[in-house]
Amino acid sequence: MATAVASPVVNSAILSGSGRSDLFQDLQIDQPLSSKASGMAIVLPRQKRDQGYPEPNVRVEILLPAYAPNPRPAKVLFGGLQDPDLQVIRPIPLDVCVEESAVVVSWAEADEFGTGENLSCALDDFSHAVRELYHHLHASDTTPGADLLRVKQILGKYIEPRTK
Amino acid sequence: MKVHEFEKIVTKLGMQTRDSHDRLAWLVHDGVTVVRTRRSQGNSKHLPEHLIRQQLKINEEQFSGLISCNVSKEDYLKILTAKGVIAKKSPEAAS
Repeated sequence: MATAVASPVVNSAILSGSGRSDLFQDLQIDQPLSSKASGMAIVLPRQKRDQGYPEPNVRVEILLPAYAPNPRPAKVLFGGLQDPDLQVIRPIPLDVCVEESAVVVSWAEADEFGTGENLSCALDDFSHAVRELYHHLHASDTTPGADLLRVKQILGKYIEPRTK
Repeated sequence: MKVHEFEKIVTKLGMQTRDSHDRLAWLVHDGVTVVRTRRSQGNSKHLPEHLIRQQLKINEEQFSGLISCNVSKEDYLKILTAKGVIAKKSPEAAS
């Protein structure tokens, strides 16, 4: 004997354009969700010729893009330096923007940046850039000029060698 | 900004380069590392022109001149000296 899978009966939907983010929070279904309680299959009510449309029993809300949560924030605090010898002691503030379909993160204070196809790739690129910069400026054979000395001092405020 | 424009600047200024995760470029003048820049070698081919320009410590006009033939390496060094990025030589050291 076949078992019918019960689903809610949707007569029609009320469209609401409030733009709120609680898309399914107020979903209301008047009809019983399952026929298990009664042990009988749901039978749609017979329609009469001059009945018209049934009353709507589901409310649908449209989430306008302007109200949607932004998956790519304008600012990021970065702390994920991928270097076994270095650790971030203060989160690095980054600005995030999109240029020519590429995501660009930039650290204005130190004039450093990272790019990538998405935010994750851009942060990964930034991580490589910062560790390369740190190691180069702290190399014994490097004599930094005035501006790079400033950058070196800034790096020192955010990054320090990892103690073993 | 195109990759060949980046490479043109690197070649014109005689910058030291190293290929790592990115292509790193350093301008060393009189034994002092003056400025640095880089470009990504990953899937993202986008080179943020304004950020590279800021790393090179020049304005848009000077940057355009560097890509074209209007600004030479000597001009660029003068710009950096005027901005204090390169320390001015004292008269004693110059003599």
